[in-house]
Formats: sequence, C-alpha cells, structure tokens
Amino acid sequence: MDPRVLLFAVIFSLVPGWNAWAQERTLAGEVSALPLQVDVKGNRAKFNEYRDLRGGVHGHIVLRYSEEKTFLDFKADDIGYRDQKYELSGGRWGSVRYHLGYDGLPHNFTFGSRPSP
Amino acid sequence: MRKAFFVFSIVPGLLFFGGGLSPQEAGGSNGTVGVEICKGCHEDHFKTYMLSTHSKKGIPGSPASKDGCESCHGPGAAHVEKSGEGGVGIFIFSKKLADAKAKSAKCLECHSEQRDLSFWEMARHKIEGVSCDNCHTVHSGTRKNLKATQPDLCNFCHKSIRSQQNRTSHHPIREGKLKCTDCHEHHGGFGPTLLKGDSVNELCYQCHAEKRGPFMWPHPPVDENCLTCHVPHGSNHSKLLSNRVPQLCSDCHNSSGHPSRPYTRFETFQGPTPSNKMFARSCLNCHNNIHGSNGPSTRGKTMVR
Repeated sequence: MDPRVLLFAVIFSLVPGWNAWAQERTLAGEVSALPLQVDVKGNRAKFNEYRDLRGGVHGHIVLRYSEEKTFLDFKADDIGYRDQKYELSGGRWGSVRYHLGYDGLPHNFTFGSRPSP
Repeated sequence: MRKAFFVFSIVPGLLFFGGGLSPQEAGGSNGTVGVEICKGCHEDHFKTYMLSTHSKKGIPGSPASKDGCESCHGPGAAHVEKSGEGGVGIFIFSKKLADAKAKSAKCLECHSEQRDLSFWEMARHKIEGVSCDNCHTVHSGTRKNLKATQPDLCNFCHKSIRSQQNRTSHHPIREGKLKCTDCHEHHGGFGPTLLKGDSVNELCYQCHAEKRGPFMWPHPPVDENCLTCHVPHGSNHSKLLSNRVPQLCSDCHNSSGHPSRPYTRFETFQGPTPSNKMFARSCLNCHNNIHGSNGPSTRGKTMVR
C-alpha cells in the first residue's frame, strides 16, 4: 500500500475520535470551610448522639465532572471528624454506574462514664 | 486499494462532518423547530436544562439525543408561528394545565423501562395523585433531578413524619446518615407502606441483625412485628419505644403479681418506697435480653442477664 494513502487513511480514521475527545466537558463544584464554635449546655452525648459537632473547621467539598458520555462526582463532608462522609460516583450514562462511599456514623450514649464497682 | 481508501478515510470523514448538525439543532419536518429557536425566548429554562442529565447527548434516548426541548414539550412550530402564544399543543408541566396522570405519562414515555419504576402503576404515590414533577424537575443540575434533598423533599408532604424525626429518640435521619429511601421504595413495591422489605421485621433486620436470632428463648412480639414496641420515625421515649417501660411491658404482661402488677405513684417518688421497677430502665434493668435470650434455664426463659 502506498504510504501516503496509508497516512491519509490513518489521519481520517482518527478524526471521529478527535471529535469525541473535543466534546464538551463540565467541571462544577464548591469547596467550603466553616469555622464553628460549639457550646453545649446539657447532655453533650445526646447532642452528639449520631454526629461529631465539635468546635473547629468543618470542610465540605462537592465536585461534579461530566462529559457527554461519562460523569464523575465527588463529595466530602465534615472532613476529619468522626461523622465524616466521602462519596465517589461515576460511570457512563445509560450503561455503567459505580458508587464508592464511606460514611462515619458515631453512636454516643454517654461521655466520661466510669465502670460500675 | 481504492476500496481501502474509501473505508478508512472517506467514511470516517463523512461521519465527522455529517455529525455536525443533530436533528434537535436543525429542526425537523415533524413540526419541531430545534433547541436554538426555543433558547431564543426561553433562555433561563434552556440554561437549567443544560445543567440536567436530560441535556446529555451521550445518554441513549435522552431528550438531547432526540428532539431536545420538544421531546417533552411537543413540537413547537405552531407555537413559534403564533409568536409564542400558549395553548397551541405545547405540553407544560403545570398543575393548572395538566393533571398528574398526564404529566407522569409524559415522563414514562422514556422512563417506563426503568427497573425502579416497575411498580409505579400500583404505587401509593400514584394512587394519591402524585406525579413525577412533584419531586423531580426536568431542568436541574441536582442529583437525579430532585427538587430538594432528603428528608426535606419527603417531609414537605409528610409533615407528621417530620415532627417524629425531631423527637429526642430518632433514627439518624436529620443528621443525614439515613435517607427515607433507605427504607421506603418511593416508586412503589410489594412491601407495606412502600417498605423495601417484605415485612417490617425483614427491613429492620437488615441493619439490626443481632435482633433476628434465632434464640433459644424468643420474645414472641419480636418475631411478630418490631412495631409492637417501637415507632420507626421517632419517639420521646428512649430506644424509639412507643411507650415508656414499665407501662409498655404492662400492656401485655398484665397478670397479677410480679412482673405484671400495675405500678402506681406509690412506687415513684411520691410513695414511701420508690422502686427501681419504675425508674431508669425499669423492667429492662433485669430483663435486658428483651429481644430473645440463649441463657440457660429460667434465666434465659425470663430474659434476665
């Protein structure tokens, strides 16, 4: 085969692929850090029964990336705390979807209890 | 050689250049005008539509891969000819202009094959006149095109459930660790009250597996229904109990003598001898294996520790 024809064929064969590569991409999201001061008057364990609401900086991240055929979402809440939550999901629209997650769930009954004698 | 040249270069080239105009952009002969015409007047709606998954051409059968806006709203040629006048065959997801059945039918034209919508026809929500657009919006960038996140979305209608969720003993719903859809099949199913399990117990055991048993000495109401003693959404009694112990236990154990005699104010602080049968965990101070026991002899039979 004539090398020039072959080169021409290869270049044109790649054109549809280039068209797919050049498809629209979207990246959106938010990153926030919330300084928090907590003063609990009363039962601290009940207040934090299913959460870890302490003073400090609470981080929150949401990122959403999508193309025409695929998507990828990432979400993080209360980073570094006992009730921290991370989610990563993605896939190909209409065919495959995956979801990976970690969700910390503390269950506090009491703080500072001592064993019975 | 020429054949190979045609296959490897001309065909892909035609595919590339021919793919420049999609049917939705160009308009069609079936009375459609294309998204660019719609965008000219409804730019705000177009922007929110572009944020949604409906705008993804890569999704097979999505509105974007068909007629764009007109996939759901109907052909717009007559609407354009009359300078945007209403009532010319444009379908609008409005409570005033279309009933719940018509709105849901419009969505189901594409979504009827979805696995989680298999039981929509027998779903309680459908029977009560709820339509897809009560919870979802076609123009949105939110996950699953939901109008709000859970539990706020469900609580908008189920206000009594919201009040229960705010009681002192509750599942971690308001903390965001449990969603309504973790237990309920909102699109319909075989379980009672849209539950995801075949029964209440089967659903509860998915998380509270240690309550399932089997036990040498079972507590019959546990096997029968968790809701005999518990309320699922929230309670002002500890452990999501429907009543306070010992009154809850006395509902069934009402024979004379211990353990069933009715406790009165004489056993409380008003009486001469306050009893631990009335305070703290009451009956559960001793009978702590209340869901069932494998203890030996009468200790197991009476579910004491």
